[in-house]
Amino acid sequence: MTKNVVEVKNLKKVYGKGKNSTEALKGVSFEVTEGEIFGILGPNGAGKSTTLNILIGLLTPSSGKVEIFGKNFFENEEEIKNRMNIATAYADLANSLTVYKNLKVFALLYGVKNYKDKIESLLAQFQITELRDQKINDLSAGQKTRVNLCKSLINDPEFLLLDEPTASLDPAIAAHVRTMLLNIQKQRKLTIIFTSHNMPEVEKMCGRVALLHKGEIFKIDTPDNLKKFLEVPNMEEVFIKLAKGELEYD
Amino acid sequence: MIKNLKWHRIHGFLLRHWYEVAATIDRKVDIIFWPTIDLLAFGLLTIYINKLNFQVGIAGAILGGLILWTLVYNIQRDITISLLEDAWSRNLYNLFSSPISIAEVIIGTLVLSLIKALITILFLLFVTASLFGFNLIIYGWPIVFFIINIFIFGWAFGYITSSLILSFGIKVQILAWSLIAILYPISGVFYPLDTLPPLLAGIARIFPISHIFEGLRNLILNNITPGSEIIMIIVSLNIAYLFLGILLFVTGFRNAKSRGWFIHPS
Repeated sequence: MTKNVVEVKNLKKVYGKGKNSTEALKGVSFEVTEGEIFGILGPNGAGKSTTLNILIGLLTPSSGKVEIFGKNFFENEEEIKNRMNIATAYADLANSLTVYKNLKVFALLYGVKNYKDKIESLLAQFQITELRDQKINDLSAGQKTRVNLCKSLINDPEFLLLDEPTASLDPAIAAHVRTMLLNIQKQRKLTIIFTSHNMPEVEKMCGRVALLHKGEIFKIDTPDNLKKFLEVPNMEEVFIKLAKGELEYD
Repeated sequence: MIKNLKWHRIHGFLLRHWYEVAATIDRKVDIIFWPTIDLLAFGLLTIYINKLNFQVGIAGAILGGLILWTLVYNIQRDITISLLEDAWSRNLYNLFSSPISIAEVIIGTLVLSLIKALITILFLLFVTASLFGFNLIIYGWPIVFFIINIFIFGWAFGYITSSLILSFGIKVQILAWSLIAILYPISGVFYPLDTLPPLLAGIARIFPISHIFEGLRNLILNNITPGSEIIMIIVSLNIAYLFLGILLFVTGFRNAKSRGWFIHPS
């Protein structure tokens, strides 16, 4: 029987107080099973990043329950975070430090043994060994993205959050990164939550997808079933319908 | 809060900031350059003062006051800068999505500022001894007591300033350099508290550093070691400030997490 790695129940997040408050999440619930790649799709402001930021412990929810590896996330944050990681297009590493030094710092933060070998192997896998001694400040956006991906795999996570991981990569490198992530996921039964605005990528990577709009989930299903259900030829059309608010609640 | 402390995470945090010192000229300037410039200016002033035949030891009291003030200033600034550095480089996201706990961040910043301040004080003691013939260490245990308490107040004040940045964002980052400056004229770094207007002198007495500078002057000018009453006042005020600083920092940290400040530090 497949076990759930992530269980999110009735997650709500309200920013601010009183008249100026904004409801970013209005009771989001979903489960992600071991070894699954679960996509969260939605237009800007739908609540994708808010969900991910709560799941990685950077944002406190207003209410709701999050269980990861069968444990309450907020009561066991440090223990759970040791077994997970995140790569996001919206964060950098320390600018004045070299790639190697940044990765060494994160290897220590995650308690990685034999971190030298691990760092060298990740740099080789992402084809950035030559950037080893360059400062983050001197890298292009695409190079920074690959270093961030190295950081996200430094602790061999069992659960990985990927927030638009290929956003600034050229098509060839993006394809290489996708293949690599899929290989790692298959080899290690890695569980992934994935957000992207690249619909072919979502279709290729994700087993199931949650459609999120204005802080609510409309539907969760496989990309094929979503296309059938909405009678559209591709995920691009699914996204457009979602963004226009043309979908009915599940 | 302090259960499950892991040394490897504190080590990682320390290394991240130590690499910053090694990589940037700004941080090196903070540790050595500005303290040396201040010391040279005041040291030369004391040579002039000595020529004016004022009370014996007045030059030493000024230099001692300057060294301790430099320490408290640097320590509180280093606590705050370690938070700001990660905000400036958008690294707070990655840092706080790792398993590091708030207790480990607090210990990491304490150790980091301790190392940096020890480099500063050793260098300043060497410069004062070699250029101006003044050795603060000869005054024995009271100097050690004053320095330890300067560290504690610097940490406490650093956490208070950091809590303001966590609550109001990097738009108030100037506080890292300026908030402590409010205490500069009123804490009697170079002159006795009774020089101040009564209201300011009263305010000054609620800060342990005022008692430390007063005690330092008494030690250097009158050879009076601090009595148990003064020691109690300094220690109790410092414990209260350190407790307050950590409490405000933890509260600010939780507020920042609730507002999503680590995601978009502005």
